[in-house]
Amino acid sequence: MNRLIIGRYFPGNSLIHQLDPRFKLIFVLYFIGLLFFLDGMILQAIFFILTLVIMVSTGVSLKTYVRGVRPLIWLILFATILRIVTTRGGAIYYEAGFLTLSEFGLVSGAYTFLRFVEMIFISTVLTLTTKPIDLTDAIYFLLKPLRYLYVPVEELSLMLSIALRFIPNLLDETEKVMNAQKARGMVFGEGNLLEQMKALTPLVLPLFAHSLKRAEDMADVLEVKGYKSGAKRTHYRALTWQVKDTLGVGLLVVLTFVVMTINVFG
Amino acid sequence: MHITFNRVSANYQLGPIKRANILTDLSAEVKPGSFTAVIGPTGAGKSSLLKLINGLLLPSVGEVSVGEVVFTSKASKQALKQVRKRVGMAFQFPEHQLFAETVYEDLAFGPRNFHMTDSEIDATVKHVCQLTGIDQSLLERSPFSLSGGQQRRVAIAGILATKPDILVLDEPAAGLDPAAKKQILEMLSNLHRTEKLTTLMVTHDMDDVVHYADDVIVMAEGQIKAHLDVRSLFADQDLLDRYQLDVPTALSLQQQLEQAKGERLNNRSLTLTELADNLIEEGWV
Ligand SMILES: Nc1ncnc2c1ncn2[C@@H]1O[C@H](COP(=O)(O)OP(=O)(O)OP(=O)(O)O)[C@@H](O)[C@H]1O
Ligand SMILES: [Mg+2]
Repeated sequence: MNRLIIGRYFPGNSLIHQLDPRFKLIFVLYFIGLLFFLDGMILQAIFFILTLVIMVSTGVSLKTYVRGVRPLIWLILFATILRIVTTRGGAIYYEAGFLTLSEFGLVSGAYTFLRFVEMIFISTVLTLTTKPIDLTDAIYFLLKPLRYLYVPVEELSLMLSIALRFIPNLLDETEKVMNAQKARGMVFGEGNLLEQMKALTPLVLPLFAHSLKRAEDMADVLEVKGYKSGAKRTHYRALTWQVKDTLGVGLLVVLTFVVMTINVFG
Repeated sequence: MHITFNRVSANYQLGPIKRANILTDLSAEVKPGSFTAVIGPTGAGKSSLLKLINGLLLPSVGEVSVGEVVFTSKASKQALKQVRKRVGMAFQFPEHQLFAETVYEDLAFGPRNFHMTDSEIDATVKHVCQLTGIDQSLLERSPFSLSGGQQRRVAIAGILATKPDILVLDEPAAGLDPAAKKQILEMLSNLHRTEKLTTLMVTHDMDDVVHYADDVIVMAEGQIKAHLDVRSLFADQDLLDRYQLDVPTALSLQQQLEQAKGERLNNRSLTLTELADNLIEEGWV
């Protein structure tokens, strides 16, 4: 559990920390979108360096980011290898049926790898530098227009913030129940797959039961405190859009322009 | 069964990230067959101390021995299994560990893990029900449909079902009403006597200490500050003051009387009966 870096917040005071969460969310989504339109070495290099610069300016050590990639490394390698063996072109080094090892294959494999890593890095930047609660507010802001389609945006964002709020409790509880069952002679991670899955029941069930209980209490409290869905509400935490954020949007425009120019003329 | 801590330090280290020690340089010996209360302020490391006894927390330095099993920072799976068979542990709010469809199945969980046969399990379940006062009619009910006090009983029965020689209890009566609390503690105390279980119990209630314990371990800041018998603890006002420990109701009453009268009794009373005797003996009433 402690190895999963994505989704953690590291308190800090860097420029990136100070940016408006709405801007950061938009930036990350847009940036990831752009990653799919990179043709050629120059663009790849620009985006790679840009990602690195952003990562360094958060003030969080690069090691932390690398740790964030580690749990997903097999997925990334799988996608990369698939890409390598299914792309053909340029010099061909080896061939077996429809699978090839070719020059173009290797290059696009490398790009695929880079794209994945950059996607993870940039999303990690978002979660490392943004409090979960701010992120929820940002998501709420982006979803707001959907209200006109009768999507219950308020409720969704409340659900999301409650869910985020209880993750640490759930982790604590998992540890407690695990200890309690270990004390009764349970051994986790032993036996074949089926046995291991069965072994999860004594862990998952109490957690479920307890979470349901808590959800019920929570619902009661909301009710008692007069929470009504659909009511108009104001926010205690206000997000403030600053000049920095506008400048950031400028950066996105420039990036888009660069990508388009190089793709068309490069 | 003997429990010894030999210069033990421990922390909740997660992977390579270094953490400050939660427990530092503990040495203690718990006498077999004794009932030891563990007291101290919140965050003192009481629960962590209990976890050391069945290897849920491993020492980073030093060694813990339980009976013939000794473990250090590198405990083998075998040693852990052996120790967990010997030690029954009830955590704070043990009812959170209930999971099975029926009370019977939940009680059978521990014995199954320790490879008892079906007939042994059946006998054990019946036996622990008797010990803990669980009615046979509850066995087919879902544990989640029981009241809080009943759940607590079932949880404790589930721990007893592994037939431990050592019982480790983390505030077993927290959050129960006075009657249920008394029942549970009396039951545990009876078990301690009849089955000769070595018992350690964390508690914040000094009256419980007086009523049930022989010895007391005082913890603060991750260290064992004192390990002595109950009477010596409450005779040592310095110690009580230093760690801001409460005193039993009777002693507190005695102190108030002494203050009002401006005189002192010769003996410190730990129970109300003792207090009454002392008052009569010295002619205060
Ligand atoms: N699972 C854990 N991971 C990290 N730190 C922990 C963990 N459990 C306890 N601690 C820390 O260890 C210290 C001692 O905790 P412990 O639970 O042993 O105290 P305690 O004496 O039982 O307190 P209480 O009376 O509140 O139950 C505390 O500072 C706590 O923050
Ligand atoms: Mg505790």
